[in-house]
This record gives sequence, C-alpha cells and structure tokens, in this order.
Amino acid sequence: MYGSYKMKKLISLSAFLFACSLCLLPTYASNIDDYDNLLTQTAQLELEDQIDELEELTGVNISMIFPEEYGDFSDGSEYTYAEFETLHGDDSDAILLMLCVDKGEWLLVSNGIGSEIADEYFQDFIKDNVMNYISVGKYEDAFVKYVDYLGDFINAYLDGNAYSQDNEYDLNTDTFALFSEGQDIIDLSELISSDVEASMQEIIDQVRSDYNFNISIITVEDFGDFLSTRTYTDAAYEHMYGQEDGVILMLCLNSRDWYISTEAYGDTAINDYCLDVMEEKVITSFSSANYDKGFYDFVSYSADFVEEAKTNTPYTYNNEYLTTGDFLKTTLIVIVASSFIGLAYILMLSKQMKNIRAVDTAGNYILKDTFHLESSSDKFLYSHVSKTVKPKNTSSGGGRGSGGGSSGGRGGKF
Amino acid sequence: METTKSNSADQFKCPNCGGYVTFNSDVQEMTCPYCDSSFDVSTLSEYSKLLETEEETPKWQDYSMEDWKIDEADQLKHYVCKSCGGEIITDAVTAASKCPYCDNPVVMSDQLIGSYRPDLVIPFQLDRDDAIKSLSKFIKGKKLLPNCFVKDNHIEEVQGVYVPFWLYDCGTSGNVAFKATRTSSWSDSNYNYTKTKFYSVQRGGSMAFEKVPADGSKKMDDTLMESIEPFDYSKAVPFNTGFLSGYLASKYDVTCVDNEPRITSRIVNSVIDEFRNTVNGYNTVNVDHKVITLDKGTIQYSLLPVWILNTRYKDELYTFAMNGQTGKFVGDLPIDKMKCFSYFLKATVACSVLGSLLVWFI
Repeated sequence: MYGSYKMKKLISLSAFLFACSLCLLPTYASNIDDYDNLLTQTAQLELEDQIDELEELTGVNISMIFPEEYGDFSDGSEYTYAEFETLHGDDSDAILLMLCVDKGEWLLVSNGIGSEIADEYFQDFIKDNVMNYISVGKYEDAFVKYVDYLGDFINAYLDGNAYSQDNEYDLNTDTFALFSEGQDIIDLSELISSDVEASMQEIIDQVRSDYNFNISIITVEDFGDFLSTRTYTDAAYEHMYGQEDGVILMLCLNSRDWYISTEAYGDTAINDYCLDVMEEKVITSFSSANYDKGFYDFVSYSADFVEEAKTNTPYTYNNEYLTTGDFLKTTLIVIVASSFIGLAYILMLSKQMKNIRAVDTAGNYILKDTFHLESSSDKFLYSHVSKTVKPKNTSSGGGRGSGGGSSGGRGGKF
Repeated sequence: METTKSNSADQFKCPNCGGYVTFNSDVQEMTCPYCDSSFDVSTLSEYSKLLETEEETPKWQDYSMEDWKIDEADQLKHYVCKSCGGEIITDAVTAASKCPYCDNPVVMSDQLIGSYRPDLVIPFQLDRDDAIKSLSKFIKGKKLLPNCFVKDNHIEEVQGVYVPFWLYDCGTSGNVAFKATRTSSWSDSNYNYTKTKFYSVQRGGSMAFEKVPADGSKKMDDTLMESIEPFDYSKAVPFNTGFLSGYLASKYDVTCVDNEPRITSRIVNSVIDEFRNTVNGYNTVNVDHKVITLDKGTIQYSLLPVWILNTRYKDELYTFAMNGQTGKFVGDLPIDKMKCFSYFLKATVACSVLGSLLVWFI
C-alpha cells in the first residue's frame, strides 16, 4: 500500500514538472510567438537558438510573431506596432516580423539600427525570396531563410558594407559554389564526354567572339533552395554572366528536368519558334539518353540561331530553320505526295477508258407515283461511349524570370 | 433424211422498182435504196404477203451425201434468199440477217413466230453513221489511248442488232429494318469522348416497277447490255417483222426464268434504296433485316435496238455498244502502258515542282 502511495506521488510530481516545463516554454522562446502554430516545436527551438546567437553577435533584437488574428486591433499595422512596443520598447535596436497567414499579411517593424538594416531594399528582398515560400506553405523554410538573410544583412551593415540597390545581395553564392569561374559548360552530373565538350567549347568561343553572345550548359543534381527550374536556371545564368546576351541549358538527371533560359538579346535570337525547334530536335536526344548529341545539337542550333539573327533576321514561324536533313525529308515528302497525286491522276485517266459497268439497281424503272411509305418507326436501342487519351504536352511555357526581368525560356521533363 | 430446216425468209420488194427495201430509222419507214420510194411498214408487209401467195417457189430435191448430226442440226437453220436464191445457213437463234451473196436484207420470220414472237420492238432511231460518230467522240480526248489504235483503227464490223430483251413488270411491297447510328464527340482535359447511339429504323411500303430489262441473248454480254440502259419505252411499238429489215436480229436463248434472279436482285436493291432515302439524320445506316415480296409480275418479250461495233487492236477484239435509241455509247478502250508511265511521270514532276515552290514560299 505504501509503495503504491509513493508511486502516485511520483507520477503526480512528474506531471506537475512536465506541465511547468510546457508553461515555461513560451517564456524561454520569447523571440518567436507562434500563435498560429506554423512551426513545429523542434523547428521553433532551432530558430530560437539561431536568433539568440545572432542577437548576441550583433546586438540587434530580433523577434517574430504569427497571430491567427489581430484581436481588438483595427489592422495588422496597429497590432504589429503594439506588439513591437511590448517586446522591445522604444529605444532598442530591434526588428519584428509579423505574419498573419489567414489575413495574407506580413509586416516588418524596426527601430534604431534595425530600421537601417530592414530598409526598403531588405523588405523587397524578403518579399521576393522568403514570402514565395510562405505562399506555398513552406513556413519552416521561409523562417529559416529569413533568419539567415537577416544575419547576412546585419553583418554586412556592421561591416560597413550594407546591401542596397547598388550593392545587391548575391543570393546564389552558396548554391552555385561548385560553378567554376569563367566556364561555359558545367557538367556536375558528368554526362558530357570530353571530346564533345571540346567541340562545343570551340563553337561557344566562336559565337562569343563573333557576336558577343554566351551559350552555356549546366548539368546539376538538384536545384538547391530554388523552387523551380526556371528560377534556378535564370539565377545560374545571372550568376555566370550577369545581364549579358545569352542562352543557357540546364539539365537535372535526378528529377529529369530541363530548362532553357534566354537572356537579353537571347530572347530575340532564340525566340519561341527556336525553342520549339530545340524541344523537338534536342530534348528528344535526352529522352533517349543520347546526351552528347543533345548537348552538341543545343550548342550548334543556338549558334545557328544567333548567327541568323545577327546577320539576317531571327528564325521565326515565317522564316523557318531547315537543316539538310529537314530539306531532304521535306523533299522526300513532296515527292511521295506528288507520286500519289500522279497515281491518282493515272487512275482517273484509266477510269475514263472504261465505262462498261453492271447496273445493280432498277431505280430508272420505278413507276411514277407508285412509291408509298406505309410504315415508319425510329427506335433508340442503346448507346456506347468510347474514350481515347489526349496527347499530353509536358513542357512548361516561356515566361520571364523574376530576377533581371528580361529572361525568357522553356522547360519540362525529358 | 431432212438435216436442216428449210424456211422462207421475209424480204420486202419495192412495189415501184422491184428492189429490196430496208427500214430507215430516220424517217421510221421502209425505203427503197434504188428508187428512194418510202412505204408504211404494215402496208408494205401486207402487200408483200399478198405477192407471196401468188409466187411459186421452186422446190429442190433433198440431197445429202452425209447427214448432219442431231445436235448440229439443232443449232443450224437453213434459208433461201428470195432475191438471189442463195443458200443461207445461220445459227438457231438468228432472226434477221443479210444474204452473203447479194447483201440484201433477210428476215427469218419463222424464228419469231409462236412463243418466240416479240411483244414489242423499239425501232432504231440512230443509224450506222451515228454509231461511227459516237465511237470517234468516245475515243476523243482519251489520253491513255494508244496512238496506233486511233491511226490504224479499222472498224471491222458495225452491226445494227435487235437484241432480245425480257421486260419485267411487277409491284413490290416490303419492310426493311436498318441499324442506324448517331455519334457525338466532346472532350475534357484528359480524354476525347465519342458517344454512339444505336437505333432500329424500320420502313415499310410498296412501289411498282415497269419494264425492267434483262438481256435474253447468250451472245450478248449482260454487263455490256446493262451499260447502255435505259431505253425509252414510250417509243416502243407492237412487233412487226418490217422493223427488222436491214438489221441483224436474234431470238432469245436465255429464258425469262433464267433472268429472274438478276432482275429480282436489281429490284430488291432499288426497294432498299428507296426506303433508305427516307432515313435521315443519322451518321450511318445499314440494312439489318428485310422482307420484300414481288406481286402482280408480268413479263414481256421485246427486241431493242443496239449498234455493235467491233475493232481489233494487237489481235484483241474490242467491242463497243451504242443504244440504238438514245445514243448512249459504252466500251472498254485499250490502255498504252508507256503513256501511263509518261503521264504519271509528268504529273509527279509537275506536282513536285509546285509542291516545292509552295513549301519554299509558304
């Protein structure tokens, strides 16, 4: 009996301590108020540690609050300023991020050094590179990135090298760390043979020399933190060549994604028609695992397209690109079609030579006005529905990249 | 022993000059080629019969070194030309011909008496010249015709022939069940759909057919004779042997019973066609079941005018036929294989050039 009593006491004590620890948790995680339960407990703890470390290093107070609603406050702004006042007072250097998923609103409120760090450039940056994760429900990724970026911006500020329109934050430093400087062909998946790579490089150099136009190929294992093949490819090109004229082909063997991105004059020289040609002639080689041929064709076609665009007019649906093979194929089709027409003509002439034909009816001999329709009925019996699968187009449309605002392209699965 | 049947042949002498007269299709009268006199067919026929009764025909003694075999005798007929007295031997079905000695027309009237006597005849409306002109018109513009066929063409024979035809009259009644379908199509993002609705469509009724012709001669190709249809029976007249003069004629050797399956098939097809024409609003219509009966059927025997033209090219006989009433001309012409290839090549090259230009500029 005594043992049982002791056991009950022990259990009650444990439950009390556990409840106390839960109650104490929000006090400990004072940097993040997740009223909307957007983060798991583990993620929140990790973020707290990261924020504490950052605060200690920089002396800037960082906090985040995720309300379900604004309570008695009239709007998100009033709510956020009130919360900022409560958390940080008026005098401290601080930055508060408020996000209300239900309202679809977010706000950055800052003070002191915080105001200089979380300026308009930073807010635009966060909008472009963090809020896109929020819109697809990737809250943890979004907040981890937010804290990372914030740390980089604070450090840059403290180093006297604050990021701004004139000194942009290089988003891709880590993602494209493996990209060798000055290389046009970056084959991380090792799909291209050295001979073909050398041949392609000759063409690429020639095009750059003649027309100041970049042609690039990258094969990768993944897209890092990028949400789409388009944004990744655009960013890769920008990382390699900035805003220069050019085209880049990205191929990811793991996800079987491809994307061709064009930049500046590349949009004109390698337009939708040219991308159609590429998709037909190049991507099919990738589908059949003929990578050398596919990449070489890409470089070769790109060179032809650029040359035609620079020396004449770009290839379009009204000025189609024809290879020797296409020409022979078209000629063969014309000859075969003409042969059929010739054969039909001969059959028609032959038919004129003979007009002896049996007459299988006697319609000429029906006595006038003797046809009487005496009964007539149309009855529905049954119905049958058949269906055939519509052909799918797996390519994604062109569109413009979000970075420079002047890149186009096309992608899909191979 | 009598080996051939000796008969008199109907020929008409001109009451004016004594020459033998022939039927002129242009004026539809008997005309004398010697003095250009014209006579009404029935009047001249009666006049000739009157003269015949007063004439004594010399009789020849039977003479035969060797008897004809029975089956041979059945296939032969023996006539004496009243103009020159020449002995004429024909096959068992010839009813009118020409004397091979004096070229005068001969009508074997006994071939057309009794059950062989036609009920109707449509007299020739078009003559030999019309037939030859029609042939020239027919071959004109035929690109695959061998040049030699035109250049060296010698028409071996142009014969006006009264071809025996059976004419079938009947009423028909019946019910035809069709299986018909209507289809509609639509699609969503993944599939194209086709819905087919099936219907049972029934039509019943009656109609009558008049004078559906069937060739009663074995010598004439049935398809050739069907090709020159139709004839205008409003121009048909009761049979008179006078119309046959100057033309070839045969009696039937295919009975009306033999022709019944072919005629029945043609009539049934037409009944189905008539009913099918009343079925509208469907994508497909196919016959599912039919019950068709023929009633009140009568059959007439007639002689219908046909021009037959024979020509030979590279040892092959080419036969053409023209409806002696309407002028409809039919026949199969020879084809020059080299010309075939030449035109094929020309057409292919022309289309290739045109196609290439289209591909280049469009």
